[in-house]
Amino acid sequence: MKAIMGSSSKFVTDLRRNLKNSEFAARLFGIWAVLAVVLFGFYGIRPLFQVIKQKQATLEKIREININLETFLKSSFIS
Amino acid sequence: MQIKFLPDFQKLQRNLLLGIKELLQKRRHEQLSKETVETAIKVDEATRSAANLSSHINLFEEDETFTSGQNVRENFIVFSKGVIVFVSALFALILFYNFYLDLRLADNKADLDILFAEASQYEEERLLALQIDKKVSSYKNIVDNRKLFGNKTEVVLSSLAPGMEVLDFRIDEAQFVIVVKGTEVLSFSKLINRYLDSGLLAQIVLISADLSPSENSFTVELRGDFK
Repeated sequence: MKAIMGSSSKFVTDLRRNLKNSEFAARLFGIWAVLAVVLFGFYGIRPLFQVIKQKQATLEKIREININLETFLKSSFIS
Repeated sequence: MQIKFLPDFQKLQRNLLLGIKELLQKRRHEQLSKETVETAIKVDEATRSAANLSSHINLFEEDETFTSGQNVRENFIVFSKGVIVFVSALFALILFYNFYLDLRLADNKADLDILFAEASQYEEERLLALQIDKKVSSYKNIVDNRKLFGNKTEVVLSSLAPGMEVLDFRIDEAQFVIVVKGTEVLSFSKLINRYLDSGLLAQIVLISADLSPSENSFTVELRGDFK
């Protein structure tokens, strides 16, 4: 247990020390930014945006159908 | 005792300082991290205080900048952090908007189901209305056709001379066929003239003409093609 705690503490210390190293941090954050743009942007935001466009069109159609149907049901022909 | 070892100690400290200075210059050229430089400065200060050296011995030149590469890297790190935060926030925003659209779609779908169920109660009335509409359409069609044939029929039948008897009469949009029985031949000629003068017919075809000596009558079958 002590060995595990010691190794984890050493890992954290090494990580903090490496993050203070600006060159390492620059590389790390650069790769992180590229991954964020590719994963969130290309594989996340782009398809999500297309899905949202389709959902908005469907929502507008359903709203229009609802309004027409409600108007028809409230018309004098039915009542 | 301390005075005796002082020259050797100072020499040792000076050699140590020179070694650190060379090391720092070498690492500076290799653009090592700021932490290493700060550590070296601390070592320098600690060594200087331990050796009780005056401050005129300077390991670093004051105009030397170690921060040119550091600044670029720091700016790059800040930019990268900004990109990460912006893209993540944008993704989260669009994701929440997607969930919001899902909720609105579900609500509208529920409303649509309710209205559809309400409209389904009037299915019988709808079918009845469809039947009535169909009947009305058929009636209108029949009335229109009747008017059309009525005018033509009136012309065809009103042209008959007195004493002529209609044995058969068929009419459609394109033509009519009439079988007429009469006693005078001249009345048939006048009938054909009246048909031609009416302006409705393109041609008249005499299909058959029979003479019945016992009754002293003629039976003529005519076909007229409308214009």
